[in-house]
Amino acid sequence: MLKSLQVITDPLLDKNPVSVHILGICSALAVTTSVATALTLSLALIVVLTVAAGLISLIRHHIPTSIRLIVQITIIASLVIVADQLLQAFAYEMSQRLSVFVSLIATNCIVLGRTEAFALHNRPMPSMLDALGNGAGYALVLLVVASIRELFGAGTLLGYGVLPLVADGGWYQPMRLMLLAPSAFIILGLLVWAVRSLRPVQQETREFVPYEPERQVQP
Amino acid sequence: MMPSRLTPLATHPLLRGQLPVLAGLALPLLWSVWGDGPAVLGRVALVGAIVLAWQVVFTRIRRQGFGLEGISAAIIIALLVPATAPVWQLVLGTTFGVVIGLLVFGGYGRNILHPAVVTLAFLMFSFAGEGYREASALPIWTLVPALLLLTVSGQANWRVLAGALLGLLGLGWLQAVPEATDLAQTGLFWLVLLFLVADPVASAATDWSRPFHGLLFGVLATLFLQTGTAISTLVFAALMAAIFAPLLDAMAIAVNARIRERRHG
Repeated sequence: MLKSLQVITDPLLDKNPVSVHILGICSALAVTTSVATALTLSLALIVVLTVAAGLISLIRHHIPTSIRLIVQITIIASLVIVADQLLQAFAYEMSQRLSVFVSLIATNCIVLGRTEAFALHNRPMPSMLDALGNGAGYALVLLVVASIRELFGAGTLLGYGVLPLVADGGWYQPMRLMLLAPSAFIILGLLVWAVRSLRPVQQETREFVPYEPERQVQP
Repeated sequence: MMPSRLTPLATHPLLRGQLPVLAGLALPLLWSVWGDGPAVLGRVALVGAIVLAWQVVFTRIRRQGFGLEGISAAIIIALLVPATAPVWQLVLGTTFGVVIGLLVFGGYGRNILHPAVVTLAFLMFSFAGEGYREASALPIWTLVPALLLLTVSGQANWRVLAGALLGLLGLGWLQAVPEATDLAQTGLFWLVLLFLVADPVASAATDWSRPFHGLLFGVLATLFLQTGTAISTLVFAALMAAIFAPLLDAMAIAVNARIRERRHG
């Protein structure tokens, strides 16, 4: 039990797909202007990833190695289409705000990465737990970035006013930069910096050592 | 001849070549004090204090070098923001500019953008309604000492300046934009060009890529000028040109390597 719990908790921080492996950045930038869109996309990704991992793990002994990527993508893409259609049927407004990014879950590196690296070699239950954990790790980063962007960019959280805006007679002047894509890059970068400062294990080895001249020592 | 006692002062490591920059900024600052009142000095003190505080933090924690380059950035920021700018926005903008634009890269010499450009672009993007896209005019003669000091001391490479003028006036002439010619006659243009675009760290680093870096800045300035105000045009053109400067350097180095390979086998 403890071990299966670890499969879920590890991807939250220590093996987080976004902040450690820097995967799924494209959607992390695009949908984090508000918490609601980030939450919806995270849920869609968790469902797609978990079901895809379970299915692929079930048929893992029957997939020929040479066409395994095509089979995986076909399963993932079918699930994405189902998720997209469900969203359009029951939450049309939200599907319009997410525009193309739900369909783009099919190309999200986290999904194919987990099915290829884990579900193909493990039994269905551990595969689904691993998928759930990685989806949760993705969702965690998305929600942190989206909370910061929505709070400082619009003064709201999940649509509820938190900071009183100048336009409504309050004191907070919203930062428009927060609603533009560069701010997501910067926030994500600062987040990675903060996590790696707290967990030095995650730091990558230096690619090159900056030139440092030898100190002149006075005799 | 410089008196011998002053020589170590002029080459003191704290200055890191900032003496001509600070001297060149003196006349625009004096003009601003004379024209708009001493409030600009308050802004210099505020922005300078923030910059120095962050530099001290990074020097203490990450053992980065410490120099006076932050002071020149602070003077430029204070000169180019409007007098009505709220204090908290200046604190936030300067913090962002100096930390993200300069200190996280390892300090002066390792940054790719000028911190003042990052600060101004941040303020213009974030607070659209606060008048950061308007700047008080600066007569062109206040920048003459800066032009002489910076080009003679090697801080501003003449190739960048020539490329920028060619790009601005050339495209302005081709596209028939009379504002481009007017812009080249303002002190604002020369302030941005000399201190922000031709900054030795943020600009291109090889002789062959420098004119192209200037050219890119000039061309972008002419293009942006058709939709924006003078200061926003100059800041965004400087930002974009500085982002592409390392690419221009890499291209110049690759071409040079190819030529040498062909010549020497």
